[in-house]
Amino acid sequence: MPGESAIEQEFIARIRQHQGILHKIGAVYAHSAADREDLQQEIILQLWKSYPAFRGKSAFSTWMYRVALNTAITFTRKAAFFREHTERLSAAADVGITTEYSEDLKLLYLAIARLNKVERAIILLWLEEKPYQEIADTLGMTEKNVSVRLVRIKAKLAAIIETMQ
Amino acid sequence: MIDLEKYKTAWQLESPPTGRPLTDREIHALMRATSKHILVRFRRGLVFDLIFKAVLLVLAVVLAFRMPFTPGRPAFYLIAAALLIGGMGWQLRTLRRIPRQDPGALSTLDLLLQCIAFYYRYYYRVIPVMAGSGAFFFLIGSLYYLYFKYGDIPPAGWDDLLVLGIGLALSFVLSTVAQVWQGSFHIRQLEERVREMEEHSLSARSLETQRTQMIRNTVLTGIALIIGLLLFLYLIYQQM
Repeated sequence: MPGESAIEQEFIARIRQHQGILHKIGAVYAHSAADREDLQQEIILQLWKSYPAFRGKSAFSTWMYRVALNTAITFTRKAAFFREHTERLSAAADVGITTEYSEDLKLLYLAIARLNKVERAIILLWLEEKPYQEIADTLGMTEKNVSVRLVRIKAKLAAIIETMQ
Repeated sequence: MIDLEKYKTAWQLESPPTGRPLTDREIHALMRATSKHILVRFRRGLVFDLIFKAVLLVLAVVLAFRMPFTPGRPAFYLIAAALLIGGMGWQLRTLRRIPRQDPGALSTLDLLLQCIAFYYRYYYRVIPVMAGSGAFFFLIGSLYYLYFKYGDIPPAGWDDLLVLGIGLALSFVLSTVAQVWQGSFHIRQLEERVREMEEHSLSARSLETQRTQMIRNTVLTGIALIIGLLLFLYLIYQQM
């Protein structure tokens, strides 16, 4: 685009390359299309604001996950007042799950929607095969705590999937 | 027991097709969008109120020079100006305390605790100061009305003062309550995240302590401001 600096072009190219992260986090954390748009906007904005501090010490995707998850967990909404408790149970109806997914993946997204926000972050990073140390660093927990919590969350997730089948 | 590995494989094998891919132009536009983060929203509100107070200050100064001179009036205008300038100073101090969070450098827990600490230490204390703008708007607006209608502040009785006092108190209380409610609503969401992260831990318990201190501070600040407002009204009455 005309008027774009080299750093802007580089950033846009990287975001385009890793858009899947935005969509996954949107599907896991947002309850509606409007929520997803808001969250996506906030994540890109935070990524852009933090980009000058990104030194390339980790992979871009790792850093992007960190910023995106931090944004999703700390993002509060005015309109969410009445939805926080009631929609958790019925979140499945509109978490952006399309018919393009396999049955297993649909079920997984629906089950994840029933976890709390922190549990979703832990399971999402586990699904992405991130090491415990990285999960702990991202969330601010100890490695041991992550390990213990992950066992509990996986059991909870398995139980949810079992009841949904 | 369900084997989650099957689902993990599905997660990793399938690309996330949800949503239409963003174009370069859309990404570019989102990079310049307005943030909806609570700290950014609060910073915007604070700056807006600072500008509003500055406008009120100018209006008060203009009125001071246009109203006929009486011996007690300079003191009244000086107190009004001092309150507005003092409030602006407090707000500027709060503005500097708003943490500039980098979600790429801090952990989720650190971001949450930093945000919550800011709310309890600074946000709730500045709310009555911000709410004072509404009361000043009502007061200066009333004085302008009187000036344009009568060219001066006509002699007033207790009933006039009562109406003015109720108007001032209502605008102050309503604004304070609305902002406290809004802040509490956001903070509750963040506190919920901390509890989810650190069940029964020190951080989660310290939230309760911070909440108690916040309530005490807000009540004390509110009482001090109401006493100040009453004294201010008494001063107005003396001028009328």
